[in-house]
Amino acid sequence: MIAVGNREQIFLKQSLEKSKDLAHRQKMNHALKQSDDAFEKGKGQFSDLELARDWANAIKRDAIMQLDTYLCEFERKFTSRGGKVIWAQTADQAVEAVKAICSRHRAKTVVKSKSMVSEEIRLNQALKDGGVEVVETDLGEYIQQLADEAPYHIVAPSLHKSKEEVAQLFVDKLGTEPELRPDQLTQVARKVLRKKFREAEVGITGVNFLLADIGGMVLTENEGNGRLTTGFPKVHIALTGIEKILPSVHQLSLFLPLLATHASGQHITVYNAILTGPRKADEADGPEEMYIILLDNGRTNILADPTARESLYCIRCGACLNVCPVYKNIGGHTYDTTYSGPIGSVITPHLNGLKDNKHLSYASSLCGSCTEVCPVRIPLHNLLLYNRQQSVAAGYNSGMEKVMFLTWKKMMLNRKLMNAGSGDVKNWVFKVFVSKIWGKDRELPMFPKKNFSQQWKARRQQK
Amino acid sequence: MVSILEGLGCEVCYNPEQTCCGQPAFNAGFRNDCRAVAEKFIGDFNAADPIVAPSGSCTGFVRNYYGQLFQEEGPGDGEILPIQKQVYEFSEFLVDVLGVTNVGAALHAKATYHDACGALRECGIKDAPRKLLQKVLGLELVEAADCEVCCGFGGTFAVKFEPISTSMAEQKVVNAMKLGAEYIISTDSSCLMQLDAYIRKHKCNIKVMHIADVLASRKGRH
Amino acid sequence: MDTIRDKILTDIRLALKDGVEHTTAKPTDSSLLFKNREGGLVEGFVREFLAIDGNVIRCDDFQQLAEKLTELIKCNNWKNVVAKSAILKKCGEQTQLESISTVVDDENLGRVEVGITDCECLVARTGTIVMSTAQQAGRTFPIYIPKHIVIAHEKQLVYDLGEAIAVMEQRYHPDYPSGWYLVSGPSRTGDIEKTLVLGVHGPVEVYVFILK
Repeated sequence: MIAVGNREQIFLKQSLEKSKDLAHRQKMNHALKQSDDAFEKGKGQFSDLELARDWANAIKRDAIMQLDTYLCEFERKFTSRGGKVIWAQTADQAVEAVKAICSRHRAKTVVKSKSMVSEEIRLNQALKDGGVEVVETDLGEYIQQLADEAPYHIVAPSLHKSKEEVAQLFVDKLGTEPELRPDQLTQVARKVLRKKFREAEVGITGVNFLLADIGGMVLTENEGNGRLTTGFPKVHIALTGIEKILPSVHQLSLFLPLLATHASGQHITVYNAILTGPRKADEADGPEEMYIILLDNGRTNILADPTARESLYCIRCGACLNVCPVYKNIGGHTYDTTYSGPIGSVITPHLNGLKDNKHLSYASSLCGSCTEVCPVRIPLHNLLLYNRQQSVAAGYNSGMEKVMFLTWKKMMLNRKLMNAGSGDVKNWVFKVFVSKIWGKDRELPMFPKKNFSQQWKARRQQK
Repeated sequence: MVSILEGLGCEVCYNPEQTCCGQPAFNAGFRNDCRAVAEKFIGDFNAADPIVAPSGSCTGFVRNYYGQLFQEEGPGDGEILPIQKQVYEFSEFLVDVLGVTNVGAALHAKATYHDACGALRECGIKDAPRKLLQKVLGLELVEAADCEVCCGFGGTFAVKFEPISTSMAEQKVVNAMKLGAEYIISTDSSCLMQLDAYIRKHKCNIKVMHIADVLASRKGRH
Repeated sequence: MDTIRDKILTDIRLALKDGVEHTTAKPTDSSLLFKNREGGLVEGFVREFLAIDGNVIRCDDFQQLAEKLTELIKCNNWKNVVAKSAILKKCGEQTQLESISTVVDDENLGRVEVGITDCECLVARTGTIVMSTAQQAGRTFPIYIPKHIVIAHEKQLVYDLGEAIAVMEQRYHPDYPSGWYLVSGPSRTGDIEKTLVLGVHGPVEVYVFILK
């Protein structure tokens, strides 16, 4: 990540580049149109999607409002079946815990299925530094790993790459034939990774849901790498934020279709694994040890704020990214955060500090599409507004902006002031003060010669 | 807007002291500045009669945000709620309150309608403007695939994040022109101003028009 | 000294001390939220499973199962087939079904072309096969094999996911299998420019034989 204090400037620079990059625009439009179309179809499985969202919101609300109770119930039940739970307050503690397990098992290779939390704690680099080979097995993550890039989207990590770019990447990094098709590229990755699943001593995954009543976790995926990651290696480590808890396994009958629809327009994702512990004595195979690492890393800060708290309901479906016009224009890397898009802009200030991340909450036209689409009804654009208010209250906004709104207020409280100056004068003022920030690509708005109040008066006089 | 309402038999009053609903400050996070102006707004209007605004954004703000705005201080529910109940965006007032869809307008042109975010998502306005436009003589209305996508204005966003804002406007304008539209019509001046700013700079062969101006138009086939 | 666990739990309790929030929504039976399709369970499953690129073969009895399975294997010229299925074993005892290998060691696992397993139940609404580690196929076999055949009885069909979860609960509570697997079609990805590709890590083809 970029040095503190410069983040807003770099964001502005990168968003300028990306906004003008027509090739990027075309790729994003194409990819997100597919998401849109799929979503429209997937929604068709619901007879009452709005009610489904209300229920999902209610269930997550209950889960979060009794977070300690449900987490303890989960831990009790999971450990009774031989599972191990590790609590981590900070990213470092989580990383150290993983390193210790890998070290204990003399792990040379780790296979990973998709985990945003692992990105959050920068696990891969830490393991690499310790001499462990980390292999991303989700195709999109594998592509990003080959390219030495962070994921571009919460759900679709290589969304921004065309098939030609991926083919070239495989030529450069794997020495494959040039111009391979997507199915051929997939077969290449499959072959490489099949070996790795069987070699690795440790498998690391994320968690889609923690289940309190049965003491288990859910792993949702389309490719099958999660199942292989939790099938062959002797050790399974799952990383999760504490907020992923659901009170009951029965609630999956709502959450699995809801997640699948919003993430990819499917009725249900191809593979959903409910894992309740390491392999049992009478089972054919499976890991001998299973760890679930519960990560705080600032989530209790969000929890302590009754307004921001709702953002913890997030089930990481990525729908808000798919509908966000800002995300579409600037792409995932411009945010320079683990979580991008609307949800990323909402939670990052609370996790990583408001001062350095407030610009993300301002980089939105507040169109509200994110709130409209969220399956658990997080009022995302209102939470962006809330962050803005926090920023102003903390005094992080520029002196110029404070003066601007003070002036605005004075004018708006006094009609005479608002009427002062003809349309021509106002146009001149705008030209002098606003044209630079308005940019070179748009003409300044024009004030009419007479404002409405003056026109009204004139009209009445004519009668 | 006034002439249309009067043409339909309404008595239109206008308080020349009114200034602003306060939304620009609220959206920038300046709650206190907003509250002062919003308090004036409450005082500027009489809740006995419908309050009609040529803006879905202002209407949505008063309806959906005044409650939380005045939570800690300012006018109580007794003053706010009646105002909130009476505030309407122009097209929703015509269709849902007056029950009118044909105002006798005529405009011989091809046009596309842009759903302003405030109108669409804060007020739930989708059909009313379209019903009115469909009754405009000579108007060929074409639906843009991205009609619900934001124009990129968003208040201070338009200047703070100018490249993104401009890129959003560009795509709206280009897509509208691809449909062969001569006009982009909307309920909100802020959107139209944003799109117009791009159009004039790039000398695009398309114009913006507020729905009130369309409905007041009597330009048929000449 | 407080453990990290204690610290986190304390932070959580402190954060939530302002009390419980209420919503008006009262979730009940989630199957109410989904569209009900016409027709029986089998038809429903077939429709949905086909739509997600799966295959269904219906059989009236063990005899038909033996015939149709043999035909499928011959048709595709599959040589290396391994079966971990109690139903198929029974079928083999009662018909002329050619003997199919039931064991495979680690070394030869990679050479298996087709694997045959049972399932816990089938879900009609979503076209889902429910399996678990309580069954002989275990964790890795059903996902490592390039082609997967599932054998099920019609009576194993339920309508929605909620019922399937209830079946698992009733069958195993409190001694749950370490892995319950919901499988809805062949492995897939859209990660390369949203182009659909089947058979990424898991099976590229899935067949469900449904026995009356």
